Amino acid sequence: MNQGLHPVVIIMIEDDQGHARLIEKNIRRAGVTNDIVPFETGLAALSYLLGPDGSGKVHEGKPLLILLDLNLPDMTGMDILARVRESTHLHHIMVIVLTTTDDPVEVHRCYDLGANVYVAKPMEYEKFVNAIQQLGLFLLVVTVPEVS
Amino acid sequence: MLIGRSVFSRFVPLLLFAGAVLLLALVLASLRFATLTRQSSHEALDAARLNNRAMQLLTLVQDAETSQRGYLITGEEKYLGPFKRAQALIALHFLSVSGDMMKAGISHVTVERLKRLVDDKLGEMRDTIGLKKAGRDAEAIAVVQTDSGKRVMDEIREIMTRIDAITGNIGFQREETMANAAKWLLISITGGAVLLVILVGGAIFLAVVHARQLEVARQALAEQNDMLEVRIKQRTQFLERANRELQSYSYIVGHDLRAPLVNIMGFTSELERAAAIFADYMKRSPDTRDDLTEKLAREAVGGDIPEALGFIRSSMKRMDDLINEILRLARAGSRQLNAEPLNFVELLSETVASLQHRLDETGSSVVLSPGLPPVVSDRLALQQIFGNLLDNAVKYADPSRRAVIHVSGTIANGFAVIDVADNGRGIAERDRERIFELFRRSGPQDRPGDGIGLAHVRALVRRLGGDVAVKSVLGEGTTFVVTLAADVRSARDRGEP
Repeated sequence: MNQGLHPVVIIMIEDDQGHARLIEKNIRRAGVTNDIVPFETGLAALSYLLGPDGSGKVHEGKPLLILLDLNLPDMTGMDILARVRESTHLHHIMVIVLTTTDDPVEVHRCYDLGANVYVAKPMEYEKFVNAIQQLGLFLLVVTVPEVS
Repeated sequence: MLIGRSVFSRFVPLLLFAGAVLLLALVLASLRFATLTRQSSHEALDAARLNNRAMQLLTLVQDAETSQRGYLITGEEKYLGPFKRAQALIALHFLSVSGDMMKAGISHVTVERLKRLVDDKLGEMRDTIGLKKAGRDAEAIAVVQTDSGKRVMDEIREIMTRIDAITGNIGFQREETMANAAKWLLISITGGAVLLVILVGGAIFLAVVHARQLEVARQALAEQNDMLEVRIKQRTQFLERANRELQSYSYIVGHDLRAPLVNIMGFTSELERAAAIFADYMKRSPDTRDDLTEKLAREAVGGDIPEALGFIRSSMKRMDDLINEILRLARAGSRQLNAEPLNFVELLSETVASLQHRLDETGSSVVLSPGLPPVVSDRLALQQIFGNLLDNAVKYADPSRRAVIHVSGTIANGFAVIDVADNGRGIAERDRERIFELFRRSGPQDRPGDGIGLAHVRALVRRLGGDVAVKSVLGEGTTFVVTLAADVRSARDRGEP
């Protein structure tokens, strides 16, 4: 794993503080030590991601990874995904959708919109932990593209 | 219109039938008059012929007399030719003419008298001719000089004149009858022609009217079909809407109720984990406790356990809130609606009064336009609908300007349309459907709220036989357009939810 001078920053967009806390705990337990920047609303996350000029240029050269919940109060995760894929600088950063539903239609739509990975939050905590820790292991081995 | 048409369509065939009967009568009358004309002309002709034959008879008698005179004067046999011929012809004539005369109304007595007179005359002439032939000229002259022959002849002439008068009269009468019959024939033919024109016209008119009725009926049927289609479309829309709502409900249950459950399960496990760490720490004898286990145990007791408990509690509260809201919405959908005549100005004034404190705080104002329509609807539902909309308008005001909320309304086609227009922060286009869903909110989440108000408004408006729509320009303002049945009872009659 070589992320150079800029280790991967994980942007976690999750409105439920409990979920956010559980995800963070389990990712840490999987050995992931990268910075996690949490957001509770879509607007806040988008304004951080796209920056003041709305193009995402502020993150140029940094490897970013988005953990995205679909069910946000102010907009859907789909909207955020679409905006990220439309932007000139962020369009190929890695987006992992992490949400409560495993509805196949929803899963398909996410992949259609350019989600890289889709993880359903399982109800049983062991599976949840397992899923998150698998995700942590996955993060340790993949090379995350930098913001161009 | 419909009744008039049916009376008319019953009346016209009757009229046509009467016309046809009348036409038949006219044809029969014409036939009768034609027959009468023919008969009269025959009779007139017969009378003329009879007259002619009577005259011929007279001529024959005169011929015979002339021939007799000639013979008496000259004594030459050749003068007797006409006499002999006339004598034969007269007998023949009498055979046929006497019957016809009696038929023409000349009395039997007269005919017999004529016959006898002619016989007498012929007898006298035969006598004189016989005397002449015998050379007894003087005796023959004497017979003539008795004037008996002349008297007979005069009487014959007199009878002939009478016959002439009688046949002439018959001819005149028949001509009169004929002229009359011809006149009536003309009249009945003319009448028939006029009636025929009327009947044909009537029939054409009836056909046209009938065709028009058919066309009207066809159009009415087509309209009914269209209406039926529209109704089916409306029903389908209602069903689709209900289906969408059901789907969004199941989505809400799937997402929003699951989220706190995931937390409860997760933090319960975290709790167990922390409890296990602390239990492990407690089991150790104090001398085997190292710094790490000590630190972990402190973290477990001081951090993880309270944190987990806090999240579990808040998640349970969240779930309880969600369930309550879903139930409240469901209950709003089943509450019995009251239909009462309502005055919007009065109703909205009450709502504004309950918001007055917050309006004063923010310097906002609500302007009720004149001409808000009266409706027959449910007071509580309308208060909740407009209470929510006005509350939102105040809540999401643009802080850079004083909020002014305009409420205006019209009524058309049995629906009241009420606009609630604000100059607030506006709603992004992608959120204009989402805001009506349960637990969804638009824009920065910087105001208190749970995303329930508009879901409630939509459910209520739909129950009142209408719908709510939103128009907005981000950063300039939002207008909620509430359409409701002007009379909620009519909405119920249509069987809408």
